[in-house]
This record gives sequence, C-alpha cells and structure tokens, in this order.
Amino acid sequence: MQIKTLTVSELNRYIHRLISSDPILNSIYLKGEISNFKLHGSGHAYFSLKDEASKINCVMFKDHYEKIKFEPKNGMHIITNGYISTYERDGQYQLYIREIEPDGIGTLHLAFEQLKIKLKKEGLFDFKKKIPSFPKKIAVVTSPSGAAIRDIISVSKRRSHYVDLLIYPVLVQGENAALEISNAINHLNNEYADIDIIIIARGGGSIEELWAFNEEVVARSIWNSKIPIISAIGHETDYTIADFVADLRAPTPSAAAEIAVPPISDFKNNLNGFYKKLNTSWNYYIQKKHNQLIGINKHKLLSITKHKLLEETQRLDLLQRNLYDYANKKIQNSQSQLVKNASKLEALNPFSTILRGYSITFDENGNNIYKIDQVKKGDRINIMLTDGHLNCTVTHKKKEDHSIEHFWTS
Amino acid sequence: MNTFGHLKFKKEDSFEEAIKKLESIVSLLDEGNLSLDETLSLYEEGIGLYRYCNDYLEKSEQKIQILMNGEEISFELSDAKIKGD
Repeated sequence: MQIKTLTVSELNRYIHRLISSDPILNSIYLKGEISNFKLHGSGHAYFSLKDEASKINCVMFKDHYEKIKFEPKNGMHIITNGYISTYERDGQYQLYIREIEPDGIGTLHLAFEQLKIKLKKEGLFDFKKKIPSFPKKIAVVTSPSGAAIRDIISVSKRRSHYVDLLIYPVLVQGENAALEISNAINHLNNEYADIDIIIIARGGGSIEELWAFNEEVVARSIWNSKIPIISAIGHETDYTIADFVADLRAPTPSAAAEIAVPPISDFKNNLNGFYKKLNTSWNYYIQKKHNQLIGINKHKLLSITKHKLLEETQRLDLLQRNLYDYANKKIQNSQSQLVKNASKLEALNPFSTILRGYSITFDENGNNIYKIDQVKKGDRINIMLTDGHLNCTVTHKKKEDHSIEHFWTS
Repeated sequence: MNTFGHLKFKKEDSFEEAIKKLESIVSLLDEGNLSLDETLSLYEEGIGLYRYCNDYLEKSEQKIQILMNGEEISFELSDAKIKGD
C-alpha cells in the first residue's frame, strides 16, 4: 500500500474541509471566561475562552462585534454562538463567534450597567439644569399614538390654558427609535428657540421595549441639550439611562406634565404677588419720605437753621471787629500824621515869629510892608503884635543897608 | 427715567419679557433707594406691565401642535389612534 506524502498546506486544507463539514462544529454554543481580549484597529476582536483546564482561540469579526450591546472584558463569563474553523496558515482551529451573551445576567442588563458606569464616570449624571418655573412652550418627544402623549395632553389641558405643547413624533421602540429620539432632541435644540422644556416620554413596557432610552446616543443628546429635559419613561419603577442623564426624572408621563406645566393659578398668584409688592413698596416709600419730611420739619431744620444763624452772627462779629480795628488804626495813623504836619506848620507860621518879639507892619490896605520904600513920611501904618494892633503915623524914615535884604532879593 | 429705559414696556414685548421687567421693577422698588420721580415712574410702569400680563393670561389659548414635515400643525387627540399600554 502506497502512502501518499502530503504537503503541510494539503493537510491543513484537508482538516479544514473535515471540520467545516461537521454539522455539530458548524453551529455550537460555547461558554467560558474571556482572556487575552484584544480589539484590533480593524474592528475585529481576538481573545481566548477558557475554563479551569483548557482554552480555545476566538475571533469575532467587526460586523458581529458591533452588534453586541455590552463591552466584553477579560474575566467575563460569556455564552457564545459560532462555528469552529481553522486558520490554515498556522494550522490552528478556532472559534468564529457570531453572538455573545453574558453568562448569568441578560445582555441588556449588562449593557445597561456598563453604560451607566461609563456615563457616570464621565459626569453625565451630575449636572442638572433648572426646569423653568413658568414655561410658555413645551416640546414632547414621543409617539403621537402612545398612551404617554394622551396623559400629557390631558394633564396640560387641565392645569393651564397658557402653556403650549409641540409634539415631536418619534418611534419609541425598535431599531431606529434611539436615533430618532436623539435626532429629535438635537433638532429641537438647533431649530426651535421658543421651546422652554423638552419632555421625552414613553408608556410602560419591557426592558426590550424601553431599550431605546438606554442607548448611548440618546444619553449624549440629552447631555448636550441646552433646553432642560424631563424624562418620563415607562412606569414608576422603570429606570433608564435617559432618566439618569435628564435634568429631571418624572415617574410617569402624567407626572412629567404636572411638573412641567404650572397651573394657571400659579401664574396668577405670581403676578398678583408682584402687584402687591409693587403697591407695598410704593406705600412704604411714600411713608418713609413722609416720615423723613416730618422729622426734618420738627427738629433738624430748626437746629440746622439756628446753627447756621449763630455761625453767621459770629462771622459778622468777627468782621465787625476787624473793621473796627482797621478803622482805628487808620485814624491813629492820620492823627499822628496830622500832628506831625501841624508842628511843621507851626514852625512855618509867620505869627509864631511875633511871639518871639518880632512884629509885622501893614499899610492901610493891609499889604505887608517889608521895605522902607513902601512908605512915605506921613503914611498911616498898622503894626501887628501878639495881642493887638498899633495904628501909627510915619514921622521919620531912614534907609539902611541891612544884611537881611540879601535874603529877600537873592 | 433714562436709567431705567430698558424696563419700559414695549408693544412687541412677549409675556416673558414683560414679566421679567415687572420682576426687576418690583425688586428695584423693594430696595427703595430711588428718587421720588424714579419711584413714581417705575411704579406706573409696573402697574402697566401688571395689567398687560394679567390680560395676556386671561386671553391666552393653549396651542397643541405636532411637528409634521417640519411644520407645526394643530393636533387633536382624536387624530391619533390611541393604543393602551
């Protein structure tokens, strides 16, 4: 018997064909623990599944990997569905995985927990915008045919005819729901400046039915929204990721409407409060001014005036004194000047010579006679003395040279 | 009233703007540090704003609309088939 010698490639291809044709290996469910997990840049995931004694290499291609809702990690126990095939180049058989599910808890629960932890770490649950107290227009992102919108409309109608509602119709379950909800939030933020509050709402349902509200894309849109968002998803006991990120979680759609839509009476009370305050302030102000006026009239004004008066009196006194001093000084100055002038005058007084024994001679007309030529013999002349006149007749006259003439003529 | 010109009621003011102005006037008056003239004109302005807001509330009618192809059209509950939870 001749034995055919095979090449490595031929052997590997043979084994590959053998394994591929096995109906059991073509579709198996395998459970184990993830190890050596590596997500390649291409989007394909490579890891091993192991139990206490053994391990197998696994590949999950991008198309399948993208569809899993949670994030596989080392140490995680999973149940997989896939097929066994070989990697001919290395002569290795491995598990090609189509689907993964966490072992123990459901996929959705795990995805929920994982996203919750991730977003919480990022701080998406921390910051809450204030819900406006007196909104004018509220957008409701929900199904137009659901129970949620019915409840919201009826509560709004009952509470206030003032607040307007804009329904933004979206799918609230199914594959496209999350994207529609997310787009609706973005669209309202970008295009509708008059919206004061957004309510995202859905009636009750299973975790699968509510799933759209647990998707990251919805959480991100809520987080990025400038308009405050109230979430009202499912029943009171249902919590979704959207609830954690929203600025306020209402237990039900009806409750959301009750929170968002203030009763018209609140508006009126608020307005009347302003009116009352306006009047109180006004009255208080007038009363205050009035009191001020009375206070000023009675006491202050008088004392201020008195004080002012006294001050002015004092000032006047001082001025008067200054004036007096000044005048006095001026008078004294003038007096001493006068005395000085008087004594000067005195020295020049011709009559003072008389006192010293001289006398003055006048002719009949009162002209001063100081030269002998002014008189003739027989003329009548008067001689002035200190205490009277002598009426004389010139009986004799004699001209003499006298040194005094020089004074007169010179 | 030059200093408080921005608090004067304008015809094109929305209810929200009017009530905001009213609120500012109330708090200004509450502080009470204004002259008599200022106080008087702010008070009158405030009363005018109050009347406007009150009228507005009385007359307003609730609009319930749905966004359809980018347009806001009137929505009646009976328009939609309601399905229970």
